[in-house]
Amino acid sequence: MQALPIRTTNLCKTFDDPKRGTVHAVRDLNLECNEGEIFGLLGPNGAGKTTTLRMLSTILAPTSGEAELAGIRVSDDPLEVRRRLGFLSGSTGLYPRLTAREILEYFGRLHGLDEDQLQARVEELLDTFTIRPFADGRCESLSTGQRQRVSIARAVLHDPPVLILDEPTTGLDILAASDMIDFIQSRKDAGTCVLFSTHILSEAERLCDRIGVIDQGRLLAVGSLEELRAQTGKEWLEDVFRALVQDAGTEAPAATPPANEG
Amino acid sequence: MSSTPTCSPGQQTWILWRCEIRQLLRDRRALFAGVLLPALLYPLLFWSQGKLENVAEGIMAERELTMILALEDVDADLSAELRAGLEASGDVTLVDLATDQDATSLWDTEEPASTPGDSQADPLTLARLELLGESHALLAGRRSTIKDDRHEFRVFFNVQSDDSREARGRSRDVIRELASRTRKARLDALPGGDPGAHLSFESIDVASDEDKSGAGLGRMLPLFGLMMLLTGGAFAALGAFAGEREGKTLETLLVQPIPARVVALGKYGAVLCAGLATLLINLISLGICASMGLVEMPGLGEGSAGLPPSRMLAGFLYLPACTLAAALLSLFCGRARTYREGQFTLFPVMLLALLPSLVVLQPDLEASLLLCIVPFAGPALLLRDGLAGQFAILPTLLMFASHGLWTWLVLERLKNLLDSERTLSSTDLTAEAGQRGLSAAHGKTWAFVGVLGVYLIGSRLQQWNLAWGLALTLWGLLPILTALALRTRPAPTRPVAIKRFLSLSLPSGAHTLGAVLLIPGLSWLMVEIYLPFQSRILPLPQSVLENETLGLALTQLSTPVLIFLMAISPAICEELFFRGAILGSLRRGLTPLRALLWQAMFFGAAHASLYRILPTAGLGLLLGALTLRSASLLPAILVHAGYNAVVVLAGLERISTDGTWLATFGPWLAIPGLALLALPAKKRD
Repeated sequence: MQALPIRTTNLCKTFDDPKRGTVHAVRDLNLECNEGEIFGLLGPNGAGKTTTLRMLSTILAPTSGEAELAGIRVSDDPLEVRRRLGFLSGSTGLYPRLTAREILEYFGRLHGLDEDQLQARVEELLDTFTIRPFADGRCESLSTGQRQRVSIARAVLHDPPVLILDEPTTGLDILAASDMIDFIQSRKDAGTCVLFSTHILSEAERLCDRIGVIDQGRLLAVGSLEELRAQTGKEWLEDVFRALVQDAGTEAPAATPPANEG
Repeated sequence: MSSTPTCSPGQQTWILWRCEIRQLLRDRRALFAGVLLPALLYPLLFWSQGKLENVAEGIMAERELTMILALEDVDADLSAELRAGLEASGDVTLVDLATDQDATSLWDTEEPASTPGDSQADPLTLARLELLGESHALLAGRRSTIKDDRHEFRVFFNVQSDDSREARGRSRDVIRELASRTRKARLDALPGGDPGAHLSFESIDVASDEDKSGAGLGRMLPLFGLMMLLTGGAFAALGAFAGEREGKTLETLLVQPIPARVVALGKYGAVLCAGLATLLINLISLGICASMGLVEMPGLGEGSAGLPPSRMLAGFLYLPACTLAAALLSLFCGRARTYREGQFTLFPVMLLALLPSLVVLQPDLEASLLLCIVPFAGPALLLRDGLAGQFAILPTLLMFASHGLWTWLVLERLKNLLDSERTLSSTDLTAEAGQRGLSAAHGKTWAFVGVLGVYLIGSRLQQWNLAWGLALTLWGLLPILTALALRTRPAPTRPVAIKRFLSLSLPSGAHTLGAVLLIPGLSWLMVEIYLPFQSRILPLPQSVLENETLGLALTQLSTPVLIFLMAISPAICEELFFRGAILGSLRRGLTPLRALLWQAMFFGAAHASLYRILPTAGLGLLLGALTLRSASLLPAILVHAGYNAVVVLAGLERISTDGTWLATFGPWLAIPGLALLALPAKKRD
């Protein structure tokens, strides 16, 4: 049986904060994403989306529970996980003093692509994401949209089977954001599993095969938009989301201990 | 699934290093600081220094001087030679002393009996002043009263005038030159040469030119080299670590299939290379300057050959210090969240790294096995000895091994730091911690700058003139430093007004009274208890006791001036700097106790004396606690002023503390004082 691109089992993450005590950023998260699926993690700011994605991308170590990427546990072999992963966040920066082409070559080499393979791939990406016109200018002189295109090209350079995008449209103008949405859509056709987080409901509505609603570190519901509508009896995603969060709010004290008792 | 290609950690380190170097080479700031500045600094510095000296000499030679000559009793030939010499020395108008003037005062040998504080000049001085008149100097000569063929000269001048000093200098040079010429001629004329030459002495240095050069270079190179390496590497480290974190590119790098160790090593390699490049360019530039004769450098220009290349190989003994310094730079920049935080952190680190290298200035200190493992001290000593031609195999091996270990430990820490979630985990949680770190680093940096300023500028000013120097240090230097520290303080999330930052609000009446009540007891404790105790366990060495210039200068000041200079001024200016600006920054970044300890340590260090560091640090601790407790600087200013006044006046024996009311009631008054001070402040920050 082929391993799932993404699977988490009772994934937890707690931080010790001197002011707030123990903060439960993610609690008992169980998640499965399939090949060729676009999975949206939907939640308000501070819900635990970024922490979840960072644990899956091996940047943060889980406090307990397990996370697997393409069948490899992130805690067992993080390097192998990173080889199969493309990661991009809305705030990703580029080296200001390198050109777009140099950045792609740099990350390609770090991924171990040999020179012929690398050059062919870089040329291909320069065309795919229409970077060529500004490929040899330093990144400090690029516009936000141009930078975003370079960042995307960088994330898919090694053709990863799994893409993790953390609020990829944050800070982008309308054109750049719609480019990004087109890009995510195009990945589905390539058979890539895309897990992305957002707090923009229209994005989730338009793109996702399945949506996971997350709030205060807990996954409240998972399913296609239709399934979520059926579950809550609401038509619009806004209402679905609000209903789920409100339901969880009334259940929360019984279901989990308060955050500060850890 | 097809396995993606991989490359070895070595190749990855190389790729990372190349990328860092490429970015550095495109960074104008780094290029300026690392390449252009060291390459041009020395030629420009030495050239302009030479020019300045020439200009200064030129200006002095161009001065139009007037000199009065009283040479009637001098041989006509000698008198003519003297006049010719003086006229040749520059633009000078020579005037003979009028015959109607009474010149007896010129040769009077009686010393004027002046007493300190007596502003009335004695009659002898007045007579000489009258003879001098408007001219710059008066040169008087006569036949010696002991032997007819000898002459004696006196020059009268006024030290307050530059022209007058110049006139003195010129006449002295002309007479000395004449004297040595005459002496030589006379000795040559004698049969059998110099009859006075009973014992002759000549010193000949048997050290080779190489050794001389090496010893000179060995005293300088360790400190200089480390400084250059640190400045060159700092830009690279800031860009590679703090800058990358701030630019949000580190996160991307950490999700690539490369171990954190590789990231740490690649970046560290770039920092090391940048530091070594700066060092090398510095040395080459300095070497070129020395070979062009722009500067006299021991070891570079001295001797016919300077230092041979074989001796230069000793430079490799300093490599372990370079690798460790670059690792430390990387570590501290790796901890910083922003470029600016990195800058603040680096400055104290650089100074701390320089401290152990100061051992090379102790010529008696040998490179023992124990010293060899001390970071930076070991390589510095071995480099010094190596340049002087001494090489010991065991200490060298131990130094290489220990410094390899130190570097490895630092790099391991750096690796963990890059791997650590602390640095990347939810930035909102760490934003406040980052702000605190910035504030603490700012406080420490400026405290260090303050101590350094007092050492470098304040001490020079006070050597020049104790009273004015002290006044300038306190009312000039410290307020400037306070203002600069305030200007550069990191912008907090909640802005704090300067008045609040410096604790300038008025204290409660209870705290003010408490502070006043504390003064007698504290002064008594210092004068009657602590100082006698310290003199038993750490007696003042003879050299300090004999150096009475300080005490002498103080005794000449009147009591009100003394109180203003030694009590009120330090109380205001030092409190504004240490308890205002420094403690203001530190307490916003550290726990109260740590903030107190840090500022007390710096306050103690600023007093630049082993014999004063403990009491001043203790005083700093108390004054800091007073400021925090009362949320105001005033109690600390009161206690500081009162305490200083009593201790200084008692030290000069203008007041006595033994058996007076101070000793009788002081300790008792301190008890209610402390109780009042223990009351909480009205407003807490």
